Amino acid sequence: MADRIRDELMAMATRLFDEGKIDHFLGYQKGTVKFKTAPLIARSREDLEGLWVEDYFAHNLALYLKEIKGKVGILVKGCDSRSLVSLIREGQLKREDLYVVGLPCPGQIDPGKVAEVATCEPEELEEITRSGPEVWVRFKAQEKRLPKALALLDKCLDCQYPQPLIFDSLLPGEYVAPVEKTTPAEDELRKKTGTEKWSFWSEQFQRCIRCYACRNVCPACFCPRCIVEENMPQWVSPLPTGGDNFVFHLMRMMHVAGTCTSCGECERVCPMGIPLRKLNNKMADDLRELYDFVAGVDLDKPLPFRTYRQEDADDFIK
Amino acid sequence: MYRKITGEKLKKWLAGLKAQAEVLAPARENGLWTYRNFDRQDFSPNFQNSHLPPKALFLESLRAMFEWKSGDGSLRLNPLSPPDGQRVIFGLKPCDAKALKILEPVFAGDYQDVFYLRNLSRTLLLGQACRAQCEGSFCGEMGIDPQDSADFDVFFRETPEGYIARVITDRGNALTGGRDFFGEASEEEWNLARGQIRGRREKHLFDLERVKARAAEYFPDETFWKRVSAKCINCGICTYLCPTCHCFDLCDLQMPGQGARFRCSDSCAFPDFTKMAVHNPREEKWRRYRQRVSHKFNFFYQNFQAIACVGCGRCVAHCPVNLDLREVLLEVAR
Amino acid sequence: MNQLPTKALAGELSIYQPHLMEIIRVIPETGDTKTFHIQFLDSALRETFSFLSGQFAEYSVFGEGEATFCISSSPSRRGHLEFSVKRVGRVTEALHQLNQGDIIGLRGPYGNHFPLDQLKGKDLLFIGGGIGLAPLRSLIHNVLDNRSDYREITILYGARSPQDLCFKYDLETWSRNPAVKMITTVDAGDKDWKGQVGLVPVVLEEIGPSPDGAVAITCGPPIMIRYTLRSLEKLGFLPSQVWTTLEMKMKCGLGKCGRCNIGPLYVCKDGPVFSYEEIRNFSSDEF
Repeated sequence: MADRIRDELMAMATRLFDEGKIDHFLGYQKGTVKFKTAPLIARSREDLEGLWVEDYFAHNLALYLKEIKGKVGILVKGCDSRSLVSLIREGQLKREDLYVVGLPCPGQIDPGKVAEVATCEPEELEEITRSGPEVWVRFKAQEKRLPKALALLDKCLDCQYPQPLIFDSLLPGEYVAPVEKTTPAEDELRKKTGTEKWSFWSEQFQRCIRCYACRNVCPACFCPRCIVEENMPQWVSPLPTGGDNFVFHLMRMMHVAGTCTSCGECERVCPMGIPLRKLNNKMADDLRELYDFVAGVDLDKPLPFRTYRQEDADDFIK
Repeated sequence: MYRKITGEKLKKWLAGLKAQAEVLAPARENGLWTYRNFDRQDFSPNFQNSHLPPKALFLESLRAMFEWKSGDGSLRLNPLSPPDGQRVIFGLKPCDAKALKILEPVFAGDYQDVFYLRNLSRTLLLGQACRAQCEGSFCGEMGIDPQDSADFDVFFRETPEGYIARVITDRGNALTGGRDFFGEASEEEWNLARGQIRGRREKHLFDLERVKARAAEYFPDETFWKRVSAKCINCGICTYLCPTCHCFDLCDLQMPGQGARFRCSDSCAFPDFTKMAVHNPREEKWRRYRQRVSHKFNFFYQNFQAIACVGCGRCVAHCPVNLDLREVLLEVAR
Repeated sequence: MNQLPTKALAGELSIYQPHLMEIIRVIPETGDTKTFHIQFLDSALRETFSFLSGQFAEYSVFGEGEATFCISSSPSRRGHLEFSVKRVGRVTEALHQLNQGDIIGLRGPYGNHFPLDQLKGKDLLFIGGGIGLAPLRSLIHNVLDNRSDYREITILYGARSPQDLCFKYDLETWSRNPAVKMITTVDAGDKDWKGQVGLVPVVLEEIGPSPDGAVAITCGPPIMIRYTLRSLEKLGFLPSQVWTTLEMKMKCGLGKCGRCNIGPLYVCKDGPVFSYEEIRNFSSDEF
């Protein structure tokens, strides 16, 4: 099945280059380490050789549209397409510059979670294979079977948009949520007091090493010059103190609110395992509640932070 | 000289050392391996290497160097003491120990960085032989033997009963001397204890000598660097997880009436790394990637006669977009 | 294994800790450039501190940071140090807000220096542009204070406009010095300008100095340096006869932070003074 998808994608992308419809194609290629895939940035049909769509394609390729301009062909899962919608809505992308190819997604496996559930160390994992509603794990000559729901990234468990919201072509396959929709368990953190939350996040941000992978991988972080890089004045110190890390992350969350689609890439790439998506989700829920707004879904609805209405509340202005 | 010790006694010994030194050993914290205060933890046979390199214990990601107090036209500068107190780190790996040796001339030489050097001199390095090839690693290609190294004070190999230790320095000898814990061992026992390394490659992926010879040749090839760096997202993961990366920034923190100057980690991958007021010589991503690889495999060698890479594999295993340095080196060496 | 530094811990300055300096004079040069005269608070250091022309220092505004400037006074003129600052960013802006009596920090001297022994007995050709005269003037004053060691001295200095000319007091002194040939030029004059008009490299070629037994030292904006180097080549100067200073973003200034390298050379340690022979192999887009 994967071969069929790949062949069709290869033919499509090749044709797009040959017809001069695109200058770049963004897809995936096989990874060089266990359980990883790499983005593929093709500038010509020759570069397409490594195209791969078998597994571990969690990457949201929309991030490269920050730096790659012109006519671009891009492979998107349902969740990724929301970033495209969001960026088009924000005036960062033109729909006519994109050739969007939809990719069916069986849900993205989280090796860390698999190790935890299988009760082994992540380094011990040897092989992870999908088999219908299950995921088979092999480690240290043992084999365990897990229900798929326990092996996938959190975000895949409540997949709302398995099919791309905008597309020019859809690759063959089933565009359905990877697991039966269940109401996800409420984040325990939401129930805690302000002090407890402060304590939780202080501890998390103490570990931040300011690698900026979260910011750089985020399609919603499209500022050409990040506020952290500004030093006149220095809004956020570059020093990785707990306090400055805290400010950086909260500031970033506030800045992307309304554009962020909770794709979860920030959390996935964080080398320190900071659960950033909790913040994204909280903001998304707040926006839904306050403004009846969900990012990356609608090409027409007014954007909460870019729209001014006469009747907007202004009692906070003293 | 060789000594031996049982597993249980090793833990007792390390616990005992806490009376006179800070004792760090591998432990899992927040799901990531790190060197933490030894707490009689079991030494997991799965420990391969720490997530963040132990370099961070010597070149801290945040180091205050001096502080000042200002007010009514006057200013008083107060130097801050370098870190103090004996420290013992158990479970370090040959790649990371080699990295410390590689970095030493950077912080010594004409200007002695007392903060880094004091951390080196107050720390005893106790190494442990590896039993598996780390994901993404290429230590063999970089000339490192995961089962033997002279870059420690004492180097341990596991045995069925516990450990055999190769005593390398006088400090190591003094530390492991005394009859309560360690017994004498022979070179033969040491050799017998050489273990297999799971996942070790028979054949090297690339020839380091060819990389060294050709690195300069590749420097002007803009097309090559653009191609290999295309998917890089300019984050600092590779540099911050690298045991030989040493770039840092100096930054002031000012509060009313007082302040301090810090040394903190920085990354040549960041777009503003070389930005001046009117000009940034490495504005484009490909130039920064070229700098990173060329610095490690060419320039550093020219200045210090050592390659600034130990093949630990952290950059390969943790790059968010799987930019694999091994692939780049393979192409350079071809 | 390394030796512990022999100095005691507390009270000793680490390599990153600056000396405290008092600003004793501020001279506005142009709309965005000022020259500062500073002296050590520690009077003993005023006597012992020494440096060579071409070397630089890291100047601190505590709370803002450090910035790199050459020491533009001459080692032959003791008593105070001079440096010049163009207002372009955070630290330079902060420096421009300071006045006589304010305290700053100085770390240095760092870097290499102009090779005086290679200049002795030669004709010297100084070519400066804009604020680039700052490193040159240290050497010029040094040379003029030992005039008999050198043969003919020519100073060609230019700026974009009469308002952008720096160190006018030096230009005045040098043009009145019979032992010096002084040519000042501007890219574009104004209604009051009576002097030479023309780009520095163009005027250089018009002067047509002979390369025989001569050494050229040039500092200025990168574009001026590139064209000047070309002109010198046309005039027959060998790369080994031409010296310049390079600039890269710096932080530590002493070869550790890994920032200022051009290839294997660190501008803070192997430079900032380079002969054209050394840098001709750098592609011009590396710095």
